[in-house]
Amino acid sequence: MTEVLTQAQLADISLVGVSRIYELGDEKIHALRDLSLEIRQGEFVAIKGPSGSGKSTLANVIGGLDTPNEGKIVVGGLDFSKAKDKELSHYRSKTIGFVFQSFNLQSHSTVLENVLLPLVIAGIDKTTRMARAKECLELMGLLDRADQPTNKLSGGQRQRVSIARALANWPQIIIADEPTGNLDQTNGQIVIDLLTKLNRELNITLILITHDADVAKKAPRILEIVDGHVTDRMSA
Amino acid sequence: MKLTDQLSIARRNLKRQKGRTRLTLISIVIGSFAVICVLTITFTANKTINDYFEKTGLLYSIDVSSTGSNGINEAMVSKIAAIPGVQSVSPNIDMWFYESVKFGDNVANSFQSGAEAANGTTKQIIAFGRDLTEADTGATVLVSKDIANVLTDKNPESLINQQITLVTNSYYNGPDQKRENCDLQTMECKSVEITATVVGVNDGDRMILFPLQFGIDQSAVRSFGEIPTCQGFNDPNATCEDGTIIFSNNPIKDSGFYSLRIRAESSEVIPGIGEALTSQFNMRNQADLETDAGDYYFMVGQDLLKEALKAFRVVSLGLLAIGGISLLVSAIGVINTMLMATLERTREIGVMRAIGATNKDVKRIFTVEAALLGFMGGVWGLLFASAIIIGLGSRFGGSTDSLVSIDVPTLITSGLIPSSIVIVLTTVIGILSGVLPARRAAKLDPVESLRYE
Ligand SMILES: Nc1ncnc2c1ncn2[C@@H]1O[C@H](COP(=O)(O)OP(=O)(O)OP(=O)(O)O)[C@@H](O)[C@H]1O
Ligand SMILES: [Mg+2]
Repeated sequence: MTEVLTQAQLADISLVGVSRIYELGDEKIHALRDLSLEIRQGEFVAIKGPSGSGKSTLANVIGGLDTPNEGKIVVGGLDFSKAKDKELSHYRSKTIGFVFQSFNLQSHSTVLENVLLPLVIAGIDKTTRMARAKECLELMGLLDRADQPTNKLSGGQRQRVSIARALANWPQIIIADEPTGNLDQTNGQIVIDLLTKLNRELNITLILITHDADVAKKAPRILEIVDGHVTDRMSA
Repeated sequence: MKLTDQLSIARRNLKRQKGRTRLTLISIVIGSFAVICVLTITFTANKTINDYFEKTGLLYSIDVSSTGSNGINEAMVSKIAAIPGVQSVSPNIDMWFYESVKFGDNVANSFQSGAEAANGTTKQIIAFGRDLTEADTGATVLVSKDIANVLTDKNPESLINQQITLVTNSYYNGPDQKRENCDLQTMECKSVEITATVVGVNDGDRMILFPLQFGIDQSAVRSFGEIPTCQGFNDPNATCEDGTIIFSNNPIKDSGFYSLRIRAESSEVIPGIGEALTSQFNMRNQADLETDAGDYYFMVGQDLLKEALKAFRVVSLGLLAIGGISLLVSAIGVINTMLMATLERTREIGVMRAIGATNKDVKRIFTVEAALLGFMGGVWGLLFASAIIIGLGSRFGGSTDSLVSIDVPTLITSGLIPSSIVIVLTTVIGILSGVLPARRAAKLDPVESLRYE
């Protein structure tokens, strides 16, 4: 796994003048305003800000799920504005791993099936994907739960399943949008530790969105968004 | 994404909503069941009718009939036999004057008797005994199995080499009629009995068949007249016995046969023979007769087959339309089910997009699911139709009495197997019904889908 990552090209993130405007009737909501920033491969960046400030919008835009109205986004050489759906999907499949606040697991499927899904979508063959899914589950300490349906798991366990799923296709970037938002203190801590470990040991870029100042403090770099504007600072 | 993976995802999704899947399936099953049943029956009947025409030679036959006073005389018979492509010809004589046939205590009334040349122009399918040959000239007969069954209490084989008795009707005044049987005023005569030896039993339809020569001989017509004395009677066309003049003539010998069957070497040469009949004898094909028939006309056996199948096709098209409508209704069911599925799985679609599914992948997942519904509906329809058709076929089909009978192997090979194409149809219907829901699923905005509650 480490091998693959060192071979992969660097997925540096660059946003220039990005705006995302929602129109609700006559009203225009600027979720992101003329935002520019760079994140290098292997960085750990926390994004914080009040509710409604545009954090999730930023995450979605970087993740290629949402398209900005203005500006340019380039990740690992891929210019989103020129990319077709197939290339953007490939990028989400191979370069990015999403971790959501509400887990977004398929509750009727088993833990293993959930981790297998991104590998199935990527068209990985059966034996390889089975091995890889188990590897990811082992990393999250959930191998013994592989055949349980996810709705039988605790919140902390579910979030670890979703990290395993994000990890399945050897991503260079993980975007976690308030991954601890639905967890208690202890489980939140475990999840944060696992994510930072992936960043440290596997050099995966970690973009962590959080309300929690204490959580944010763990990141060497904190982006604060207020009303679609970003302030960038390195934490002490 | 690989197709096999899409299939297993589709299967899992259908299983998740078992009740709804079943309900959707039921309508497809009903539609495909109806269509498969109609097609199976149509295909099997076509095949059976075609086989019958082939077996009896009707597929290669042309029947020539005379309408006027001029029959088909020997010279004409030889000219027709010489037309290129003609394999053989045989006159047909309708021996209309037999009223009933008896064997022991058993009597059969409803049959036709006739005479033909035993040269294979009409193929006889011999069940027991032997076919007539050109060496047979006397009262030897081929009896169809249904008549033989009546005469022998269902032991047709026992009739071989037995004598049966044919009873004439009151208009018979052929060579075996006697003067004292007849009322000279009305020219009605009492029945006479003629015995004939059965040489064979064939697969036919209420038919007693004599050698051609016997038919010609029996077609002689006599009439009786009173005369005080034979003294000085001198008429070359009549004889005089004991105060009775007997006029005798044989219309067949005098002017020819009323009808003649031609057997062509193959079905391809039939149009050529038809043209020759028209150019040489000014005959018209009955199928395109509009005005006066003229002295002769002919009928092509194949046209008869086409006519028979055409009538059948109208009926089966009607039934097919009903089946088609129920398939159409089931398509609406599939559309509805798939639209509900896109709604239910909106969030899931968002997740799939977030972890790398292209919108084509999403479209395919839903399309495959709809196709699978159609396919399974078709398969179940085929299973039910097979069970019912084979069940009914083995109970009622394969009767040995009738020439056109439908048996289970024919039902399967000529009916069910070709009709299983309906599975392709239901699958295509599934795919088409899936187009709209799948397109809608693929168009969903990933971010919106992820927020969907
Ligand atoms: N589809 C949408 N239509 C209209 N407005 C939207 C839409 N999505 C987001 N917004 C608006 O854009 C702004 C930024 O939303 P975003 O979800 O990015 O905030 P956030 O910082 O993630 O908030 P939270 O901390 O509550 O998750 C908000 O004002 C929100 O109401
Ligand atoms: Mg948010």
